[in-house]
Amino acid sequence: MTIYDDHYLGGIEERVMHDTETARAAGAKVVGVYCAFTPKELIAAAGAIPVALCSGSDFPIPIAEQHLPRNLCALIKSSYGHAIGDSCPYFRATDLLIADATCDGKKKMFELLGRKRPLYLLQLPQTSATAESHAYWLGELRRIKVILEEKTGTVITDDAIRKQIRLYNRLRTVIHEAFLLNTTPIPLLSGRELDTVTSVAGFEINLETRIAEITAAIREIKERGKEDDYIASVAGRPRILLTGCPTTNRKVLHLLEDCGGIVVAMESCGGLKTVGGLVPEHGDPLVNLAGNYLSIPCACMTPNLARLDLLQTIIRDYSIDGVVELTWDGCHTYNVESFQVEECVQATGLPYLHVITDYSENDTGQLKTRIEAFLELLH
Amino acid sequence: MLSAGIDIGSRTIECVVIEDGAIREVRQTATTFDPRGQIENVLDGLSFDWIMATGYGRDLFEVAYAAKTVTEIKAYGRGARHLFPEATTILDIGGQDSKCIILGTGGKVQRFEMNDRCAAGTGKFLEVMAEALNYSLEELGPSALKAGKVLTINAMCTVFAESEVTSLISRGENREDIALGLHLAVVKRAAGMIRRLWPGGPIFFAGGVARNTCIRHLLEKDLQVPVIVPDNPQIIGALGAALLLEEGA
Repeated sequence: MTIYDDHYLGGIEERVMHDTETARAAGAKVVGVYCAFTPKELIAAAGAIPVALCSGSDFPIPIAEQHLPRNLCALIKSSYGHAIGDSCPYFRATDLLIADATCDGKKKMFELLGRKRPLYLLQLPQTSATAESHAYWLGELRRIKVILEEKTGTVITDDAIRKQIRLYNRLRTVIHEAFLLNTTPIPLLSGRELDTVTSVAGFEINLETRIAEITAAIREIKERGKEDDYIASVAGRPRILLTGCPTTNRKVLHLLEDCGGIVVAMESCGGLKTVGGLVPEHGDPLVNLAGNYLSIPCACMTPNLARLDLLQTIIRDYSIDGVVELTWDGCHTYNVESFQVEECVQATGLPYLHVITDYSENDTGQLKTRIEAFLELLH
Repeated sequence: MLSAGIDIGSRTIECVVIEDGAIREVRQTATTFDPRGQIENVLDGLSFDWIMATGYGRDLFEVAYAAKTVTEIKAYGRGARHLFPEATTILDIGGQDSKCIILGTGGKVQRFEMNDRCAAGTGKFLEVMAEALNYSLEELGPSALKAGKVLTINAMCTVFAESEVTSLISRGENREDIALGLHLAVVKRAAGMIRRLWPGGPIFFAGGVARNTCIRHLLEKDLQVPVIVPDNPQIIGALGAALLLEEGA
């Protein structure tokens, strides 16, 4: 049985790194991105390589705190610290950055980050509920498209965008398929494995290869359902839905599984929040991208009722036993929204645990007690 | 058959041995900087057939003694129900944690809340404040009950509260009044935690801080319900662990 861990992913990352170096030597530009609202299809349609940048480690935070307030969320500080401290190999390779004005912390951090790399900000409306905000967002994508054309010296044709839309839809579909493996009575992957199997592994280059790898992994993982040893290893473990802030740092995910739970679904960026909806493949490609990306149910949007609908669907489809909400300390949007999430979860009759923490390890003892006690509730 | 429960807390270790639900022996000691050594001391010469550990040191114990473990939350719930079968709301304030536990039908934990990493409003907070006011921990509560006026302490962080106490002292406030202000701050926080989960009804109060008569009095005043403190509020976790073990949980 293949174990889908950091070692497995490491090999893939090396290949991707190598392919990227070759492409860069041939003149390809690398465009760094942060949040999920930036349509990578546009970047790829310009012949550039999109890459999501590092934001998960604790160690760059002290460097970041030389410029940023201490009581800012760890994800933002880590992103900034990785960039200015030169500890993110992906950031090092970027020619420019496209960021999205999501939460207050991020958009103000981006002002400082722009000193380190040319940074172009997509001004994100705060709602997807009005025609005006859709029109505004479409205007932003048009503006960024022109910038990308200038920086790469490539004219972005509608056909090129359509081609990338089809490719990224296939990536979303295959990632979603990996998640769906956990809708069966015997969950086929742990949360940490889901994280690894569905990772794009850095630079988004030669995605066809990555899609084929994920497809192969899914084929192999399906066999687990027939293995008695595997079934015994997961039987009876409480099925957890992890929601809230991105699981960029995995300490809570790991604690949940080390304490005996199994995270069968993640409603977060990169998880079910962003892979569920496909971009329509016919019609104006930019309009289609704008519509799809603006409807991502992130807590920076108001109202954000689509997230509650999504949670209820996941709870039902994945036979969830308990919901854990992760808030990175200082993330006001997710923290405030947790009130409605708790109401929504309690209406389904399931227990809910809200964990507010940062990237440091100094609360591991208390977190472990809270998580173990929560898992005891589920038995 | 003798079943033992051991609660390894941040400040104290308690061990309770039971037989068919009846307490046979109770031992208690300070945790100190050497919990392993203190665990050995507590268990020295104690007879029991099996043992279950709880408290923040439970994993340490699990490894060393190949014992079963349970969280304090479940253990306190079980221990409280044993002494007070009607208990639904349990407040436990220990050395560095505070918890509110709500029991449902059959005594099963229904919901709980627990402080995060910060020891604000726990035993540690009161200990540091007692020292700042030159009281022993035992004197702190009774002295606060003698206060003549109500001072508001705004800081809940142990470090900030200490500076606030220092400035109140330099302002000439008397120490009974300052002590009451500190107790009020702890109770405000604990009552807030209870109110978030509370179905109503009496509060079963356990953990070392339950020994503080002023906290108990102020809680009753704030919540307007009886606050029940068992004879030894520090053994509830160990008792609960022993009971859970005996019941095969």
